[in-house]
Amino acid sequence: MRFFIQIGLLTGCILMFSVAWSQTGQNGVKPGSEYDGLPITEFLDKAEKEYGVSFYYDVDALPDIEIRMSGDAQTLKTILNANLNRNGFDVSVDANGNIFILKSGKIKTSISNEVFKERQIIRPAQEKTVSEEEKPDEFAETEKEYVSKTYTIGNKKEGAKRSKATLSGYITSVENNEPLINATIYVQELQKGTTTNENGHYSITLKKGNYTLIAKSVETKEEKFRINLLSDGKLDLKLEPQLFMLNEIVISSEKYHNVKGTQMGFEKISTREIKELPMVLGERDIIKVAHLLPGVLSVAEGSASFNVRGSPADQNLFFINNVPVYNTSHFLGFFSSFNSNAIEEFTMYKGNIPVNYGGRLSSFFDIKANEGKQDRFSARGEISPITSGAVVEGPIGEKANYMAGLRTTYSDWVLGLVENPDIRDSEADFADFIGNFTIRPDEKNKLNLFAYHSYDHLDLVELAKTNYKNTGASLSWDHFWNNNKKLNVSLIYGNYQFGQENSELDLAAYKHAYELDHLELKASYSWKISEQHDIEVGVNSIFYRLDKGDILPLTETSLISKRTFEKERGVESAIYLGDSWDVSDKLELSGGVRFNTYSYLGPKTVMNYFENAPKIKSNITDTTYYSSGDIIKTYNGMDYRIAAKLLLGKSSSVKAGYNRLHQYIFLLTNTVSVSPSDLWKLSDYHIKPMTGDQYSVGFYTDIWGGFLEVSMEAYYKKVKDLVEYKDGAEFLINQLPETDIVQGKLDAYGIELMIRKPYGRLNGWMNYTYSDATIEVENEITGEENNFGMPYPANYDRPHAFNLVANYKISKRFNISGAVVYATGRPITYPTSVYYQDGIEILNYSLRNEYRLPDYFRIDLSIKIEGNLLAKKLAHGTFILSVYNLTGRKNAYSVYFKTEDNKINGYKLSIFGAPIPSITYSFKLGNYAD
Amino acid sequence: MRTKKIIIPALIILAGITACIDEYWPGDITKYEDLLVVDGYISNEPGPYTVKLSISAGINDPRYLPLGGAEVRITDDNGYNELLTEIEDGTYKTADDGIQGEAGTSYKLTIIRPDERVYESGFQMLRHPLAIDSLYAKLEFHPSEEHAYNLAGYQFYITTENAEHDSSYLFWDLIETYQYNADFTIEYLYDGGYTRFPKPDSLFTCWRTGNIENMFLYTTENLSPPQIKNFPINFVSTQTKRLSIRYSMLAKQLSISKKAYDYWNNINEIIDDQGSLYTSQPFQIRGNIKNINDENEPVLGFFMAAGVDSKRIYMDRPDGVDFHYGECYADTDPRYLEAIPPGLWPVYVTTTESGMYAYGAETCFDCRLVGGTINKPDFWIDGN
Repeated sequence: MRFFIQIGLLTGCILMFSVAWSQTGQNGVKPGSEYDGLPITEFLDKAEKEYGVSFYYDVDALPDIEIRMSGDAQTLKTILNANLNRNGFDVSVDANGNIFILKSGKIKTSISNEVFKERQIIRPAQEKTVSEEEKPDEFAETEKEYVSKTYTIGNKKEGAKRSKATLSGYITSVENNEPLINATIYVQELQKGTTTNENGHYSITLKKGNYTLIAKSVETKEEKFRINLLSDGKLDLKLEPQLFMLNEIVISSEKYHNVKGTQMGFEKISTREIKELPMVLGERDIIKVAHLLPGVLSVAEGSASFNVRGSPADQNLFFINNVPVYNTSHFLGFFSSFNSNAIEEFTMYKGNIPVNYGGRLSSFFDIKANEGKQDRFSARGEISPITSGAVVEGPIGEKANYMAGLRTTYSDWVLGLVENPDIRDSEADFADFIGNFTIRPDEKNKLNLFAYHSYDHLDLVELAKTNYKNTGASLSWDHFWNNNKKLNVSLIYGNYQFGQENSELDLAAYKHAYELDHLELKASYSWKISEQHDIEVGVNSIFYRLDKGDILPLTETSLISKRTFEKERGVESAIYLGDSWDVSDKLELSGGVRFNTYSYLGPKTVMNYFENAPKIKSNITDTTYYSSGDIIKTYNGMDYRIAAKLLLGKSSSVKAGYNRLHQYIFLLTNTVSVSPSDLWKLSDYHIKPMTGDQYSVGFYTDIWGGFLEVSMEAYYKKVKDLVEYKDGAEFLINQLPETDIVQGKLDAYGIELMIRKPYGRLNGWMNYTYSDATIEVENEITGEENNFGMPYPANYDRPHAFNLVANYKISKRFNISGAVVYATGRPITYPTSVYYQDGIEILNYSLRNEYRLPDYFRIDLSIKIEGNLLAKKLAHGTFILSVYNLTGRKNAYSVYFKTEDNKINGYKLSIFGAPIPSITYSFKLGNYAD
Repeated sequence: MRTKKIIIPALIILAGITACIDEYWPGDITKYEDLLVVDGYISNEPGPYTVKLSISAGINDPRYLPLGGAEVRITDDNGYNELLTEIEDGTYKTADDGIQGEAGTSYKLTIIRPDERVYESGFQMLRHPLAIDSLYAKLEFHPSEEHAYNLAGYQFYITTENAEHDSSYLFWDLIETYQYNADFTIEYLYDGGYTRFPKPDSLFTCWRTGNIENMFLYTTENLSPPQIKNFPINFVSTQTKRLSIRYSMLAKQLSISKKAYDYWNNINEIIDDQGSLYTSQPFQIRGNIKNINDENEPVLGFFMAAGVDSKRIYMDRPDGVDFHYGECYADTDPRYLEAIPPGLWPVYVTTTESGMYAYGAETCFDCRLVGGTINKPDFWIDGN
């Protein structure tokens, strides 16, 4: 692995470092006559197997020929040269005996990078420079040297008095100079590493000496090089994008994270990784990909809500560039409100939750918007049956760049096709906008301004008009110091509005509007105090303002009386301290404490109820009025986050963690799946905040040198003061929500198994989850209970879940991928007996969630066809043909019963009860690779 | 204030092409059979009052299973109590000169089942009735899922008086009576030969009385002033003979307790809510009757005490609208008539306009066979 070889070929020669693990040179191998006449690919396969030699070639480029052998015993190289030279290929062998079949003279432009991918051949960027100067970032030009070189960092004199030195620098993409976030720098000898921050900056402190470093990020190829660390110094790296990646679906938590990081219960997905996944109605939806991950379930399809590890949907927090998004759905949940083209990646934390996150019990979806290209203007877009959208991006001057994305629907025409006049005359409309502007005045500072808006409008003739929108903006400033210190200060504003005009019943026609404001200030400071310790401290404070608005009569004939609701205010603040501690080569601990304090603020009238009695209207004793600025109630809570990782050998590890979290805002919902009309509510005088504890352990291993990644995680979660709803609760008009709420407990546990094949022509993943989520609501003091005090399965409790995602690259331009989804049906309450009152037949239902819907099963398929691969073209287009629910299985969304003509009939409602084909066209400026 | 129901059209909008509803029956879901069911109320209207006891039936075999042989007793908060008499299987009645409900008094139901299990309702306060201000009907045309045309019919509306108390919880018990004719008069009897029938229209006109099996309830809770105006109750279409001659509806407006209202409202909401996209969970609804030794035993039904105000309305056959009920076919082919075996004689025979003998099913001649009675009810007032 440490031998560098050079293939010098023509001008613009590139340097290739072989890092293949091939054994000894196979130069002398002389195949026998049984090789004569074999098609070239078979020939290569056979030789690879029999002689242990490794070939590097581009499958798509290789000519379709049969190997002719001249009769004399010849070496592989001779045979191949004899057969391939006339086809314009050169064959060369490196010091390790690896054999390269490359197109003569055109190496730089036509070698597909996939040729080298699996063997991890890398190519350093031309601008790679090395410091031996005092001003470390002005490196000597090495572009024209073709010899492999160990980069010397710093000088002996400066490092003389110290045993350790810090290496730092930026990792950017060679493609467009954009910083690579969360790229990994890994020190092979020490089996440790670090990742880059939001600015692409990394820093690592090591003992002085020689090391092999591997740099890699999700979107780029791996780069490996030697350093000789003499003193503190800088090394900026530019990584090559994986242009023709076979593994565009790699969802990473990549290799190093999987086994070596302390993170568990963590998934990261970038937009370019999901390019091939099948889509519903042609909408590429990065958020919905999360449904294919272990531990993530939804109540039903067509629901935007997520249930992560046995928690209700409101225990997940979604934010995009720090802006919280309180309703992540478009069109009642069929699509998510994020334009995937404008998203770089998202990270989901469901296990060990870093201490800088707080305020939800179950998971955090941290979505990063594209920053925009730094080198040139670019645009891309997508047209699907439902929406069209475009993203533009580019630099502004030297130091700033921007990205703006707009997506809108034109689904109205679809409605026009429907025969039913009520639907034909209905309107549905949604749109979203993402804007991102980043400026780096100097190397030490970065300023990001971000804006987000999503909008939904649904007008159902004669029934209801519904509008909702998210609006948010954030301003974030990062400051870096050379020696691993970083400060971030962010100011965040988020707003969610919902309005409805309901005219179902003329007598009770009403309208109401609802609004939630979220104003947040947060600051964090992190630094690496020593080689072993990485410290992060931070504070944040959120001011919530909820305006439930008024309920007003909609028409003159409506009998609804005006109802006014008092506004709610609350402040949630936290201060935290976290440390990541490398105890030894094998053991790493990380953890932290987070002190939360939450206050519910006046002005507000609070009802007082008889003590130890159910909170119902008739138990109200009197009221207390709190004026503006009064603190009505304060809740303090301490969060703990502890995680440990122990390496077992080189490619396996075990991890364990414990997390405690608190949550002060929740969704008022009593529907089976979350509906857009559900309102958010703050913890208040009567409703206590929820507390969650999660214990988890995991085992991670890489098999066959990373050919397969296997992980197994188990968790146990307990939620105290879970907010549940009394049967028949109606929140919209209830001025006293505490009368409809009972607090109970949630117990959830599960095992998640994940096998991933990250690379290769065929790649993808497969996971299986066994889980259980049980709720119990019984207040022994007040006698309030749900389900007569007996425990019941949560609505989203689906014990067995299996997902398979596979992607097969037929050629550079054709790609086929599929998904198989299976899950136990959700629990349901069925009517089980019948009785009569005053002649009316009434169905009597079972206990809550005593039965289950039929199992859910679905296969999706999609084919991606890339436009031509010419290097010089104005724009590149891609068609994606998708079929959702290929088998047309009528998966039950719900089952319900009706009494018709004195007969009880059962019905099954399926949402996508047929295969749904769709075609999406996406385009961008430039060629395929741009 | 229903907000969920609207979603189903939304669903159709999007997935109209693919969403589908199929008949479906889950496997064996029979459970919670054999539960005690209580049905009845006491009111300020003159007695006697009836209470019906039954047993819940399996969902696969829905039927009314009366529970006889129980001891049923109503007690008021003054200590007076009366044992009800079982007048037919499972139906228990107070004496004609027995207990009389009064507003402001509370009543309790006690049941001792034949197997000695004892149940009680707890005291139910009889609320003051809220008077009906007006009850009227309008000819309307309602869209229908089954038919391409709109259904014509009378939509009944009710307006209450202004409630003195801030909230009234109302439940409308609707009883309809309608006059209708059989399709044919009986002109002859056939018993091998034709005998003239002495009173051809004696089984021709009937009155049928029944409960309207739809639930109507509302509350003044969110209304100001606390008055329910023009609340739509039953709709009677021209798809049946109900409006063919004269129709009468008795609306009993029951002022009930909030608990009783919640019970009915929950049942109603569950029925309403089914099959849409954002449904709430249906749930088991237990009434106000408890086994005094086992609180966890589910008991169904609600024993109510209600303040009642009643009003009756008559509507004549609407003019200028189509009726869509089926009528018997008068078969004039004598061969079929003559083939009827003597065991089934005598057979009713009518005559056509041209004087031919015609016959049909017995129900075409005898109006009583479809549930009515030929005795005009005492309250009935003929139209013009």
